[in-house]
Amino acid sequence: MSPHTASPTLSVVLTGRNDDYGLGFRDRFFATLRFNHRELTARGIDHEFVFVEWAPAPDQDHLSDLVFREVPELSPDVFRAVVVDPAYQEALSLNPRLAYLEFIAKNVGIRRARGEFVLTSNCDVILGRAILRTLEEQRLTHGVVYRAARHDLKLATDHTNLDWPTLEDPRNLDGQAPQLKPPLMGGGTGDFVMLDRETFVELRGFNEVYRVARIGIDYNFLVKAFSSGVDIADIGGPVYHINHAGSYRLTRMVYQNRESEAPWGNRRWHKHGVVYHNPATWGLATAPTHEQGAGRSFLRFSWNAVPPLVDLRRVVLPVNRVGRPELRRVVSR
Amino acid sequence: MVRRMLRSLGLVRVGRLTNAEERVRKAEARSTKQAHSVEEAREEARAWRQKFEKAREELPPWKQRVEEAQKALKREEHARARDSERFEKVKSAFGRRAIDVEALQKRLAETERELVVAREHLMAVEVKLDILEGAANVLDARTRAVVTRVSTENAPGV
Repeated sequence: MSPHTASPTLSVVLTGRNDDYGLGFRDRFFATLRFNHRELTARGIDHEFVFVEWAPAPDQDHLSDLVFREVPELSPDVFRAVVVDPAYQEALSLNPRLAYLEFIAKNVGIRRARGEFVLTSNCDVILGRAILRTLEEQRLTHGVVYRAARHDLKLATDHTNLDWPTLEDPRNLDGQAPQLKPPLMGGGTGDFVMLDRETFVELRGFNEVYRVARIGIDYNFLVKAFSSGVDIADIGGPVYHINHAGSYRLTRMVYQNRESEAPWGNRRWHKHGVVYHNPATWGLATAPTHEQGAGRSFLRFSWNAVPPLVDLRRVVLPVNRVGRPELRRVVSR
Repeated sequence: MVRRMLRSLGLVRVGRLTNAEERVRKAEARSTKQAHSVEEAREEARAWRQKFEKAREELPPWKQRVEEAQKALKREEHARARDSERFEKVKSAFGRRAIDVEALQKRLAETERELVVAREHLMAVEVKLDILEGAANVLDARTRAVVTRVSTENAPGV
């Protein structure tokens, strides 16, 4: 991003903390940041990263402190960090097994993003050429959720110095990227959801009412967007995911028949059939903010910023719209 | 005079005799021909009589057949009338059924819609129950933590 640009073209919202999630988290995060920033900059795509460091452990260095050392090409104009008081995790949780309320963290980032378009992604997801080309050629439309299929890189792939030959070598890819099926284009949704900021704000971000599961909240957003009359489109090329131990894809079978113990909650909750209407304060909008130097802020805990534990009237059914496929026919329940 | 004298003697002139003989011959020829025609007519009449006799002999089976055919025709007419009546009844019943099927299909579509709505509401209820259960567990844990802390603080010797 050009220094001090008020509103870049793209805000990339990421969330993480220094807890070695999936082993080697920091390395994956820094490698991904390095690559994406380099490629966005090379194409002149005005961008910022909004990194939400959710409930960091008190005995660990903050990633937002390490990032400028590990990726020195980043500046506070391009990389902004929002550190969230760990007390929010406890106050908001409706399932003690969910150690990380990922989508509320992403909402914190969406709410504070400045870009014309907001991409919510993950710390180990690399943007593919087609996506970069679309951004470079400014071919994005407002009111459309853009999705990208995900290519998993094999576990053995060296990601320390990522480049296009490595990413595009079929030998490094763990099978074919799944096809995104219209109209919802689900599948690996959390890795790539891009939408203009205005519409993202109108939709009030990801589900903050159902805080019982982590899995499927991203897909649930697609159902909500579709139900709200927003189109969903494949951007036309994949993202690459640096695979790792402990990823949902690799470990979901471990918790078969004991879903209640899974760290992501019940993956069979009705994400296809029930949506939400977040409160106006979504994304911890009223949390007291303390600026902690260039590009970094801290959200201090306040009960006033915490939505009610239970707010059942915000659980709503999606609606079918004239001229569009009926939701009940396009989603498998 | 001569003619009169000859006539009184019972004699005629040769020419007249010849004419008379010629007329007799012609009459005989006509008679023979007529006799032949009569014979032929007689033969024909005999042949017709034979045919008539034969026909008269054959008439009773035909008569029987005609009677049978008439009876069969009557039976067929009755059967047709019965079938027609039955057809009308079936047609009427079918019409009623068609109306029933249409109503049934309408009802089925309504039931299907109601089922979908019920299922959607059930899903919403299940999601709400998940939230309530989660909240209950969280509040339980928080309460226990507070109670435990208070108990510990109030324990003798603390």
